[in-house]
Amino acid sequence: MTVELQGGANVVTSPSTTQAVPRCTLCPAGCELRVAAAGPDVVRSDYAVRPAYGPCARGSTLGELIGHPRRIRRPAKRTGGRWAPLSMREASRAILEAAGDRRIAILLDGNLPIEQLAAAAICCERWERASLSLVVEPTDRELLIGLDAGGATYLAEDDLASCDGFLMIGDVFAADPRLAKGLLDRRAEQPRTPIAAIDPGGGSASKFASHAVATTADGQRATLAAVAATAGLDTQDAAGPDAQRAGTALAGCKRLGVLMTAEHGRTTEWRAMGRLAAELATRRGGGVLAAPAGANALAAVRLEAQLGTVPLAEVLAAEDTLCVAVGCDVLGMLGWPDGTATCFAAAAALPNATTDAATIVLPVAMSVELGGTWLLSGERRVRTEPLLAPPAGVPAPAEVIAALAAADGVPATTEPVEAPLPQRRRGDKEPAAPHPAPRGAPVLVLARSPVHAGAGEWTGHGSWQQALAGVPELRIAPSDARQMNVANLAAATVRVGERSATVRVRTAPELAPGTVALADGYAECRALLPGRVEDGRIVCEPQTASVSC
Amino acid sequence: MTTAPTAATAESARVIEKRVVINLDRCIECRSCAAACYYSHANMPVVNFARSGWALLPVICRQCKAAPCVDACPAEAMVRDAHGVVRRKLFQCIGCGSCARACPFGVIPNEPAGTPAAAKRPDRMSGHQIAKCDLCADRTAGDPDAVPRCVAACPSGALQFTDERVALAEGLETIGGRTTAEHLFRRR
Repeated sequence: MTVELQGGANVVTSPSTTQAVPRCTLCPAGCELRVAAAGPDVVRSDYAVRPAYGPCARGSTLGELIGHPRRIRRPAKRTGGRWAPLSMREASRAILEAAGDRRIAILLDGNLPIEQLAAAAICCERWERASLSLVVEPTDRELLIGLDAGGATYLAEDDLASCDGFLMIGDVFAADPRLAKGLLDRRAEQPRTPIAAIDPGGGSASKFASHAVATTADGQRATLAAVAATAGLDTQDAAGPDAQRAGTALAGCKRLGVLMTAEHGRTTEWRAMGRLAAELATRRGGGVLAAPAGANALAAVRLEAQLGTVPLAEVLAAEDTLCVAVGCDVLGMLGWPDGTATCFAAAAALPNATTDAATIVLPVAMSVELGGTWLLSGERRVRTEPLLAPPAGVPAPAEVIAALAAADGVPATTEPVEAPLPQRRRGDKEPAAPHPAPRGAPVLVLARSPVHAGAGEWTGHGSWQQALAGVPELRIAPSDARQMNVANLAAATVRVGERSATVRVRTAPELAPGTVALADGYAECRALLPGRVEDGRIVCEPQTASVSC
Repeated sequence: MTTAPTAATAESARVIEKRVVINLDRCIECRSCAAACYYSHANMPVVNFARSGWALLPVICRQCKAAPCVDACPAEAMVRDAHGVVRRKLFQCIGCGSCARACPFGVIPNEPAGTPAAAKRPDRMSGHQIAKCDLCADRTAGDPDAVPRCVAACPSGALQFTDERVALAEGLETIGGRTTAEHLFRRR
């Protein structure tokens, strides 16, 4: 493995990344993917003959989804409750007619190869009435901005075995199962390796902690600050006994690995937490492994500033704009499936909450069907090959945008697009610390799902996920379950205000009483804790909920 | 008084060479093994899960030395092959579920993934046949270094495909069976 400095960032090039192969694009681990024919027109995921430590359950679904029966293969327009097929040219004209004199906002999935993002930016720069927004999970965006601002050294999964202590924030094993190997290799070698965990959602990672730090749904930042204070960082947060013990255990670390995932509905302070985590890891001679949803989240967050795109919060706050979602389930991600906002048109590989609300639906290639450059964990610039070509007539995301621009009279460019080097973000201002209102119990938080990616817009179509469980799982402490009179494995209804979701209860002794945790891989779960635009960003807070059978 | 040897005892001389074992300190409950099994075996998963206290652990066939499923099968579809693996003959299985009921460890699923309505659709084979782990014989039979797909996909290295004596020496558990008691496998 070689390490070189490039653009002020550590760029790690491992021998395994020199050859372009198809890779999973659902998280920055970037596991190699294979497919095998399972019939004349059916492909399924296949696996290496030797132990390959991946892909996980989410990545295994991708092979099936490429040829899924519900795959969107041609444009269609909703008329009177029915879908009428259109040509791409007719669909483009219909979108421009609906826009009239308004501006057009292109909401492009940030989890695409860098070449696609750059090509879309060039197109929108020439198309004067359009603005481009790169969509990543709002919590991931805030966390990654904070990490860049804190000068984080980014670790890859393979680097973890050389760390001598770990701090896990959130259920990092669910977000990126592959990082468990390095951590557990180190623990097998040195059984007394300190592993501290801050996770009010009681995820599987917290079960492996030698020092589980008790915290409330709103208290993640304060708890992290208290741990950081033991490393000499001036955080002005008093350390509780658990945080004090964890901080003391990590005090002897010469290479601390901080593993983080920014889960929805936990806190509005991910940016501050990212900066704190970066500073803590640097103080302890280590680095940070962030596990966002999507393999290219870090590149998208960095390119947002470089390519002159518009933050999603700014687009959503603007009036008199027609939104076109390309490749992303923006309404499902934000928990807005009920008409809080609409996208007039949505390009997607498979039906999702955004296409369900759109008037015009367009086909688009999945990210695994596009070769290109990705910025995987550890800031590795990795080139991938397509897993399979997209179905005939299904365009790449940049081609969808180019077709819309061409219909509006913008000539197409023929120059090849090179992947720009995403530069570390600096100078983002940190929002003022919020003062969350006191909440009653139980408080609902969302938690990363090991079997669904994002809001489940792709993996929700997987036959294995559907066979496994059609309804999301609600983790609840046994004492809370007794108090609410709900039984383990019973069907229940979770209500937050006027919104509700049907869930299956699972009593979880590892969860602190007073908090219930729901998987975030379902649009209906995210709708319970919808995001809102505040201070130029999108935030999503825990809420008081009720649970009943 | 002597008893006639059963099919299982007669074939028990062929002992399984390698087993899938689990390092209980490494399983992170991601279910990657179950997904890999499902997609590799025509949507007929044989990796199931048992909750034991805090832990959710995978359970699959232990390839018993005296396998009750072989004795119970009325169609002689369950046989032990030359490598000691108990396999189900695809075209002899009548889906009666006798093997699932005979299995003392409950690791042969009678209804795949607990979804009888979806599994028993007339256009699908699953639900009409019993799924049975064959340790991915299509790849492991001819290659001593090959591993079953559940082992290949395990991201944490919890699942290993190894000789039983090696597993016992390293304190690893054969997956399946001993996962029913509360807190039997409390983590460190």
